[in-house]
Amino acid sequence: MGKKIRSLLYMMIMAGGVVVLLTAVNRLPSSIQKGFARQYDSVEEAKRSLGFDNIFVPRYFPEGISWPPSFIFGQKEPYRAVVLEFREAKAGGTVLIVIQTSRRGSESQLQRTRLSELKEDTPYRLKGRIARLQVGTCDKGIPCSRISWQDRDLYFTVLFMSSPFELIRIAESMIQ
Amino acid sequence: MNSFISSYWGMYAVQMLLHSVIASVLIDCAFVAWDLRSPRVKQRFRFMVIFLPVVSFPMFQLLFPGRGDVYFRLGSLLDSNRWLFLEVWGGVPVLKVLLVIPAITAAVFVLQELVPIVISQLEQMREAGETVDDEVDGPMARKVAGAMAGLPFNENCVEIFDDEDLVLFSNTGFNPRIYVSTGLIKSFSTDHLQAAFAHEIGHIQRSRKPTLILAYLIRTLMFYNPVAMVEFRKLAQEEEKVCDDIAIALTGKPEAVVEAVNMLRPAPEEFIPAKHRRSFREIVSAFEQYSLDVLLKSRVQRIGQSLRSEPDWGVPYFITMTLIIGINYYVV
Repeated sequence: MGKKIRSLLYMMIMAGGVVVLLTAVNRLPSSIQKGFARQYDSVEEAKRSLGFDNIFVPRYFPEGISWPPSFIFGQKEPYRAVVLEFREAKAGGTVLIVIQTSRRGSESQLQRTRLSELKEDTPYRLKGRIARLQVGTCDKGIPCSRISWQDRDLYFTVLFMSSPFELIRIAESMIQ
Repeated sequence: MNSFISSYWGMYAVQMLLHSVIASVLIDCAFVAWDLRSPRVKQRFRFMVIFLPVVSFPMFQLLFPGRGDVYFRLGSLLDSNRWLFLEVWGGVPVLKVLLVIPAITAAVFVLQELVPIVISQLEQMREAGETVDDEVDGPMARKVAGAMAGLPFNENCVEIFDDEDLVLFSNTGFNPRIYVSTGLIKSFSTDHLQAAFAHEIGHIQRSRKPTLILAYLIRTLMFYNPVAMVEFRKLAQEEEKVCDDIAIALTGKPEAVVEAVNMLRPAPEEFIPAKHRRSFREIVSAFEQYSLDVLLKSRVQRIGQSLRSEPDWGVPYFITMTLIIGINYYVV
């Protein structure tokens, strides 16, 4: 084997060792403590594992979207956050995203589908709370709308791939 | 603190540190894999540890904005938040414990690197234009002139100052000068003196390509980063070795360079604390002398080894840089 190839091989083995070490180091905290960012199988599991008193979920779903969420993400640190994603039964794509977080402005880090083009941005009164209603298009030019509001120490964002009428009903169903 | 860590600048600060650790490990792997020993080549590699972590995070975020979200962290190689918010000793996050390290590093940076440079610059400005020692006796001036013969530097730009210690340094810039103590001229033979001057000329020549200054300026952005501090110091040590090579090239006398460096090594009693040495300052001084001795000894040993031509470093450099960027992309 040529010296150059042998050197390259040595380097690749050592770099591979670094990757393995990093992976092991990354897994260690989760085995010691719960509450780090991860995906959950159910809302109950997330609630129990994260130690949250409540995870707010909509009680109203437009036709074609049903319980349970297709994706559940939760974390306790560095800030409390839960993300629920719902798919449309027929098409199968994510159409509804519900985010609740304890940190203002963190929605952008939690939202996998983004409102790429904003057509309307208006304040809206949501069961006595001042909300912000945005209408525009999401990825691939699909019409979507988003509503955000604060309730005590939590910030809520609901994004729906449709007109704002159903979105408002979903958001209202989350407020007790 | 939680808000800061998850903000853009917080992630930048944390990732700059982590990325420099990984870069440092990988370049040391590269030195072993390709058997790289040339100080010039090592400097080029070490510069990556200083430079890449500063630019990698903004570049990653600019090119791949999704890298900042929590879902990317789920699939990352290392998610720093897992460690920073791990609670130990009765609920204290590791973050608070680890803050001690950047705090100490920042203090060392200010006390050992920033303040001395500012003081030195102020002294240089104050002493500019002054003749250090007007009344140099004839034999001493002749010895300096003899040592400077054949070296590419104006002997009138060598300043002699009255000090019995062995002191030799140069200032670079627009009006470069070499400063030498009377003690060093007396102790060194003409050959040793020539080797020492040639080493300083190396510093002056290399200051025209100010890699070290650039590295220092970039490194100041990472004033809290212990890895950047260590790597910068290693970079500076490699500079001494590069200048040793220049001295050998200019004088053609490797033995004289070795002997001159050996003569600058502190005596063992200066770094082995005697029983009566108990004060903190004496221990620190002994430690500094020991570090100096280790550094000078390594320079002597390296010169003692057969000098090899500069190896082909282009491909190893590219591969190492690719690996650093590739792995660091998945470290958040």
